[in-house]
Amino acid sequence: MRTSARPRKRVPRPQTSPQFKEARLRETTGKQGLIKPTDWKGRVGMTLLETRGLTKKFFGLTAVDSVDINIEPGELVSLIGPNGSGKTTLFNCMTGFLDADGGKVYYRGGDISDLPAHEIALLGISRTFQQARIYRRLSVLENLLMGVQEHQGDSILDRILRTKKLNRLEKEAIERAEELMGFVGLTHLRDQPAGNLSYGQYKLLVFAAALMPDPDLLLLDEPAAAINPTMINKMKDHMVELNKTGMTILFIEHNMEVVMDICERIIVLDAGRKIAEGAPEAIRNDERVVEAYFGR
Amino acid sequence: MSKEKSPYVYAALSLALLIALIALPLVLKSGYLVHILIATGMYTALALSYDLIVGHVGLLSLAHPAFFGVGAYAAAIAATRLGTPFLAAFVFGGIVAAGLALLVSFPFFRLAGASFAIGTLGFALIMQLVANNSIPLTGGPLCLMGVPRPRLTIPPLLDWQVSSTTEYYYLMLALLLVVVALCSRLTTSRVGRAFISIREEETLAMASGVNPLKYKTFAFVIGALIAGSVGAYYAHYSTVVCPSDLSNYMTTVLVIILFLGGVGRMRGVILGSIIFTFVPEFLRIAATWRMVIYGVLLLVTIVRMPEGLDGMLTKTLRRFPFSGTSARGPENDQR
Repeated sequence: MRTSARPRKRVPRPQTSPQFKEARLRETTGKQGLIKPTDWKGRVGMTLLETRGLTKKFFGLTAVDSVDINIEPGELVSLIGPNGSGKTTLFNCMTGFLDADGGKVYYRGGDISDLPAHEIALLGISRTFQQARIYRRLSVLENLLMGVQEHQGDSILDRILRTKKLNRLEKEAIERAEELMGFVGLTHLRDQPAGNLSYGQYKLLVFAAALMPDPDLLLLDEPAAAINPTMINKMKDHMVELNKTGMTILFIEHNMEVVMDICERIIVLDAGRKIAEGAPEAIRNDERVVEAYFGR
Repeated sequence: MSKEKSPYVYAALSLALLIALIALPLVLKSGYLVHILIATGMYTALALSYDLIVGHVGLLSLAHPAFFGVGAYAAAIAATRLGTPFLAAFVFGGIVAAGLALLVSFPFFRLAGASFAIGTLGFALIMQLVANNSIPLTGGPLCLMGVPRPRLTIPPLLDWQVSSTTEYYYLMLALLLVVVALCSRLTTSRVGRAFISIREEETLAMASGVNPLKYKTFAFVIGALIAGSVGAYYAHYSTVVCPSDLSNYMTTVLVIILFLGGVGRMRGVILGSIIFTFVPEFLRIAATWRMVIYGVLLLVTIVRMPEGLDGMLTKTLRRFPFSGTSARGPENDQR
């Protein structure tokens, strides 16, 4: 990925940087330490993520064709569609990993279309990848710490000099990592190199790492793919549990059972276009969806 | 980090090592051997700085001799033409190299993988041509001569005229200690973790908010800063700077040190530097067989220890307190 080639155009940043969030939260609650999703529940009113006419073309192929979606705070939404319908491309365009050819992405009302991926991540949007990317040579703990360290606002100088601030932040991060290892059940593998984990454990680790910075919006790319049924149920429970604490989740999934079970709303893509949107019941009986999946 | 090693054991070992290093030239008594030690020290510092870029961030840069040479020339020019005192010339050398690295990093980091290696190689070659041909500035192939011997003056505390080889050795040792401290701070901190995240999975690193360009540039510039400082030291040590000092032979040696010592592990890199600069010099005793033995040594290492010397050491010395293993090593990567 060549980040440097991205246009470095500055756009006014929505006032939701972690520092801002943290400062505001400290003001209102007097709380110290990492912020839990529950602390934010019900505090935000506007649409969390919004795309307007988002379009991405790969040479002749239009992978995403003017897609409009809205994600409201606190929702648990699924993005489905047949293979090659542009789900992952849509994710990549929203999170800055691909430059869209047209359209806009708004996060809390601020335009993030031109921000590079790492800056979007710092706004509180966490995502996972279909291929379950992890740092194989780092331990499970280090993988998790890596997920949060850039969010904590310590400078390179802090890190080289090992200031008190850094030690405090690192301690907080480790506490948070241990909490999350307990949450997904990887505590016993704490110091194992992540490369030694099984595929299912990869998925759990990736999931936990995405949760480390305590995102406001969690984007998951096939969290339940290629893992065994027990693990799928675990993943389902985790998503529901997190959603209950106020975290907004949008996920891509092929496993209809998972989708129909836990989602309040489903968005269906086919050949790059949004063809349907609505509650699971409505989607199940939607002619266009059935047609997209099974043909006419 | 399997077993917590006692900090006291660690401190005692470091202290013993330091005393041994200080005592070494007094024991050796041979000016030539001390000279080899100095060369080893310079290569250790260079290899450590090179490892920041190649081993930690994972960019195969071939521009290191250029930064070394630019530092050497900058310090030499400052010292001969402007009469700058040693410390200022030394700092100047490092800063010029770092500044140049910052400048060229903009086009270089638009390249990836092999293109990056070729681009930096081109840069190194161009810098050597510049040294060869800008005669008014560098003296060209006739070399830049007469760099004064360093005189270290910090007014109330210190006034040290460095002249004997042993004194140069201590100056080198001081420089090396600073470089080791800096590199270990960088690589064991969150900065090092960010470096490794970029090497391992750049896409994921970006999703965690890591700005790859920032860290790559940082590693590249710090690497050049160290290389330039070593170059400045070299200029004052040999008192002559030639265009041939910028040759790619250095890259070859550095790559050998890194890959046979253990990429991305400080201990391996230090060990590699000692073996692969000290040994070939030492072997001059057996002049005819020197390069043959060196070649065989290289072959044996690469065949028997594909993870480098450090990988092998970690395996054999696992229970030894000094071998606190980090989870980073490929020996743990059982896939």
